[in-house]
Amino acid sequence: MQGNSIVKSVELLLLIILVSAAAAVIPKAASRAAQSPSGAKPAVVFVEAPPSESKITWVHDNGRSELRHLPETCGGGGLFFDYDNDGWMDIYLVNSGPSDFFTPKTPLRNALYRNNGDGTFTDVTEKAGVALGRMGHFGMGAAAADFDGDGWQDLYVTNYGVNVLFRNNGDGTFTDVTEKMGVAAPNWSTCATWFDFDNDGRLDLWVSSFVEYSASGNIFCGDNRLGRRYYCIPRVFKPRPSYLFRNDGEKFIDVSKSSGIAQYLGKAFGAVATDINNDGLVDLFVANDTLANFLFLNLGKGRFEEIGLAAGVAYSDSGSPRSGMGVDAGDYDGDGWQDLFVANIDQELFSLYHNQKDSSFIDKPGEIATATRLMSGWGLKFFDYDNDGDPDLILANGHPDDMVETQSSRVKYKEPLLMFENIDGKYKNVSAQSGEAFKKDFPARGLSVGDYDNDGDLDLLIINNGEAPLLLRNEGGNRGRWTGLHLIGKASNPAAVGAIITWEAGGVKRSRYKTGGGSYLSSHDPREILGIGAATKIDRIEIKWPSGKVDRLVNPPLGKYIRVVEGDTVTSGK
Amino acid sequence: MYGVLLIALGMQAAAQTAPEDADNQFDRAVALHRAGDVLGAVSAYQLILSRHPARVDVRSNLGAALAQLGRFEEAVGEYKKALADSGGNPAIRFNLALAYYKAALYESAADELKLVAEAQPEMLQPVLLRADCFLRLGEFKRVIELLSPLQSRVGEDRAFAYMLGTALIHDKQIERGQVLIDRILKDGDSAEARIMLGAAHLLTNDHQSAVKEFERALELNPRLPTLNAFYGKALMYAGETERAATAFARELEINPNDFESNIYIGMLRKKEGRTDDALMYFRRAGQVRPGDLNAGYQIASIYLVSGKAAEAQQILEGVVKAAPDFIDARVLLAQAYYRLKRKEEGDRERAIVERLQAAEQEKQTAPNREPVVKQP
Repeated sequence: MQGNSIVKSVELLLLIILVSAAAAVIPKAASRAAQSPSGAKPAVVFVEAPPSESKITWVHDNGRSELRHLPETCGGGGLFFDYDNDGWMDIYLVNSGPSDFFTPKTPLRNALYRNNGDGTFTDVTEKAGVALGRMGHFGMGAAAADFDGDGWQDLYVTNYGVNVLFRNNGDGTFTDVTEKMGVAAPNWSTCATWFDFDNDGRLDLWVSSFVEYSASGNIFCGDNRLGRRYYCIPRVFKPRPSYLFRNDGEKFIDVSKSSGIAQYLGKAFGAVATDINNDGLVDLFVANDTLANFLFLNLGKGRFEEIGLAAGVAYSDSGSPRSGMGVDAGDYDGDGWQDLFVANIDQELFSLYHNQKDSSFIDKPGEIATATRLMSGWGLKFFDYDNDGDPDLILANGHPDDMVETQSSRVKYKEPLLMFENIDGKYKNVSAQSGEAFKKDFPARGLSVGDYDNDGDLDLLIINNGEAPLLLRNEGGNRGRWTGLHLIGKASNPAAVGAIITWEAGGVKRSRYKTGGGSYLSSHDPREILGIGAATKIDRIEIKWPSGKVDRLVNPPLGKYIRVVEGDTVTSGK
Repeated sequence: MYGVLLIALGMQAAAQTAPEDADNQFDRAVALHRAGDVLGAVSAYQLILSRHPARVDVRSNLGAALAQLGRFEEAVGEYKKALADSGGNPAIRFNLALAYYKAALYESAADELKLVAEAQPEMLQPVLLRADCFLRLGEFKRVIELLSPLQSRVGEDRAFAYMLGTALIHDKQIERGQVLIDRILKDGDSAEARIMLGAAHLLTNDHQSAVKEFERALELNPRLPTLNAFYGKALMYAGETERAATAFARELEINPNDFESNIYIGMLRKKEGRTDDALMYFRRAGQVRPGDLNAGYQIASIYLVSGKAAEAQQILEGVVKAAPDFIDARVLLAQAYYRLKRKEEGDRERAIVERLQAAEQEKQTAPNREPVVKQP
């Protein structure tokens, strides 16, 4: 196929919008060129963008009390999303708030920061109307998506209390439509995941429910003799069913029971939507704390079957439930099948589950096991940090128990971030070469991945419990060449969750499944950066949409983001 | 601990009449044995026995030499024959018990020691050794049952106090155990007392204090059997897994048949992905306590991650039959069935797992539950 030809796999219109012709001007003082251990190529470094640079001054308040209420140690989350459609990733951050066990001394609020396109952000929370901070909004996390297909990213915020769905008005403001849309999901929610389980082109919503909890139901966990009180291990609280809401276009219908989801009581944290058996239906992998993880296999017709145990992803290899927290899915070895990852608490080891192509998995953590033995993992993400086309892995860690150091000399409350580079399908710990931030410890929880400076490599946002968030700018990832795609589903769901992107460059063909959710209490830049390393051009890109339609781009431009609308595409690097 | 209990070479076995040259040969063999040429002594004893198979004293010493070489099975065979030929001589039976003990066949050793103790009720050593067999089998209540009646008579004996105190602490009878710790401490600081104090801290999940007590015990007697195992356990609970592994390895140098060290070091190796090493330790633990459910479960877990689902299934079926409420074993059994594509049986096990877990959850969240103390 020749370079400038137009490929008609569907009715095609030329509609390429180059959304970021010029990269942002970002202060470079802190950047440095580090060498990889082999010295073969310069290392990719993440450079901290401190509040003085980013102007993000918001700080998470965990509300920690002597009574050690469990929600205090579980937040918070945040995300990259483009709320004003200006092509720059904005940031939303979720804070604690008033609840039956917490009355803030000063009002707390979530924060929306508008990306100014020059490395700085402006707090637009009040104008946007997304501060929350009212009774019942002890915040956990958030997930953004265009649930109504109007072209504007909406926002779902999870709380200990009741959740909130904000509809984006398209004018810089949001409207609370929770009640109207029926997605309050009261009690204690953690992670939310947007995906289209019934392939009707509308985004449905998974909401992870954590334990049954109330101020009066808190119990004493600790050691009276030593006068210590700890955050309880969640096994002492009752499990609850999570929520699945089907988007019928007008409102959300609670299908938790009819789908089969509600019969499984869990203590759910992270959830990722992916297709584990390549049948075109999006499945769900859900981490549970102190209970078996769930793998909900989508049977179609609105039904799910829980197959975690049979699939080998529910328990440790000793048959014990672990403290599952963050999760993600990705094809780390490029065999065309989605693998899974779950982070647990210290000593439990994190799991990298390799898909055996028969709806079962084998845990092959390799070097990750050694590096994470003393860690407790929350936010995490498969993402291509060096644009070589394969998924690398970032882990954000921190022990939930602030008293842990009285019990252990090795396990720490604040823990380092860990970066793993994918080298031929095996993960190598490159944290030591990944920048100064990787030498520090954090009480990390949420983690979002996105290209906030539009320079073609993926940056990181880490939300710390009780501290300021950490914004890390990727320096050097874009030495690998790239093209960025912003997929907009039409017959398919607007977020294109479930799309399979295949790209070919320099004789190497790669593919990526567009997952929904993942990480912990966070969602991510919806765009996809297709890295090709040192190759000089991408020969072709194919997008197989969840609807079954296929769009192709030939010779797409490098170093640009391309907006690809389902069925309206495509081509050429003119 | 029981080296002193070994019966001396050339012991007084049942009287035998033997030609003069055989006695001379026996003296030479014993001299070789005492000089440390154990292989030479074995050959010499065997030569005598080839001509004088009824010499009980020679056969008994051959058993001792074989045991010294770690050839316990042969040693047991020789002792058994000598015991039969001697009409049940208690000294030979004691040696047989020691061979069983060294071969980590603690139940067999305990059975023989019971007979020795009945034959020689005035002797404390067979009783203590039998109690130690029970300790190694993890049968703490049997230790308490065996030793408690003797407390008024021999309660001042340090080894006795250590043994009974350890069992009481393991049985969570901390106050009674503390009395025995105090008794040992009366004689001055000792590794035995420290190990018991450390064990008590372990039971209350105060791992840092336990580590300190065990470290003090190590200063006092680094080769005290089970001390390094306790130390390793405390370190492991405190998150110091590398140091824990070193401690367990040290215990196994001193005491290769320590059950817990074999299990724990196996678990650590498994976490490191060293499944072959882990299997070796678990198997040794299984030899120490034949039929032990935990050892069987650990071995099966290695089989499962090594792709040997059928072997795992076979072991696990035995484990859950013996311990129907062993949830983790049932989880692994369900996994084994699923891997073997025996979905119906997998589903059946899964249903049992879910029922057991629900019951466990009920206990954990019951209004009258005990206060929750941090668990490792």
